[in-house]
Amino acid sequence: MIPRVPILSREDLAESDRDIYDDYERVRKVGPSVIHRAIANAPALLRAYMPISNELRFGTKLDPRLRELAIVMVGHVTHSSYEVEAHSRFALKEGVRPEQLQQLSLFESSAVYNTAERAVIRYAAEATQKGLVARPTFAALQKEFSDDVIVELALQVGFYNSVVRILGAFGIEAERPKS
Amino acid sequence: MSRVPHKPIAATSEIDPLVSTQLEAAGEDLSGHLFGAMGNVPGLGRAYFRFGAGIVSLCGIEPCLRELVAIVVLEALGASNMAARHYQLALKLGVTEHKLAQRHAFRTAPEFTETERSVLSFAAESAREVNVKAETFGKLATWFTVQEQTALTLLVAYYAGLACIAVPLEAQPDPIQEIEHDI
Repeated sequence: MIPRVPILSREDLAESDRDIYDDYERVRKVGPSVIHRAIANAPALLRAYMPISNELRFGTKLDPRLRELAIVMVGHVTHSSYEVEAHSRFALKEGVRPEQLQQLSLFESSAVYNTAERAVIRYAAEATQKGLVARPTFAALQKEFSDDVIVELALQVGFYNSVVRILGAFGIEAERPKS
Repeated sequence: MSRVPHKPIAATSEIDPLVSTQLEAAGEDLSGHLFGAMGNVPGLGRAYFRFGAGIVSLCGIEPCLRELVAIVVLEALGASNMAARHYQLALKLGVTEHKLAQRHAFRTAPEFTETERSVLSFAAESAREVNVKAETFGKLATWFTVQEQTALTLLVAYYAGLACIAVPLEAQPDPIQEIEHDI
């Protein structure tokens, strides 16, 4: 599917806004991804968006493997193919095992997850599907993590619920493999 | 009370006064449970404040419409107490009680313009379904520039994300008694 808004290159931006892409490359060591190039249609809002996006990626104590498992689960629950594909790649880089990505829908019973991983995935699934998170789900998190890490997880899950809605509005989907 | 300790970083001088003012203008209670919960991670909490302040203050969406969007998204995601704060703000901005009472019937109620209908249809669908139909997003193009469509998308996404933080943490504001029946 073709995105519903233009996907802007650096040259498409006003000269005064090109620093947003330059900062992106400086911080992330890669060029802006499709979602960020779509948000660039409102440059002031991309400026507001990038600091929290970077902080959640690079400035938290939460184990990156757990962070990526939570984000991929948000993508699964919301049928966001782009989110699942992009963050599955990040997850593998951070040390998540391929079978852990393949069995996400079986996370409650599959032996490939430990208790902490299961607690994080369950929180991400419930917060995304229902909003309300059951008492035992929250208690399982509290057994495994300190309050600050739980809040980090909550902000990750909340933020990525924003991200999937941006993707879902702009019609940004995972790229189909070329046959 | 929230499920995590209340640590209101907004009550300290750590937060930029401009950001506080912008958020308060948008109906966010800086000393409330949500930002008190975020205070457990002050650096991240401040970044989230700035994100919200930036989206709300720079989106360029007319304030009454902006508040209708916030109410529709927050209610769709079960954040009724947060929606109630935005209901109050909408009243202050001049949206009539009658119009607010008709908000669930925005598709047909005469109080709503076609522009508002296109925006609220988009907001409701994005909040509930996540993946928005091409037709729904396409209707925005009748009324809004690409920049404005992007701003509306970010506004809806911001409030959806905020609901997905506040509801699981049980960090919504306390109920407002006098309008509880309506929200």
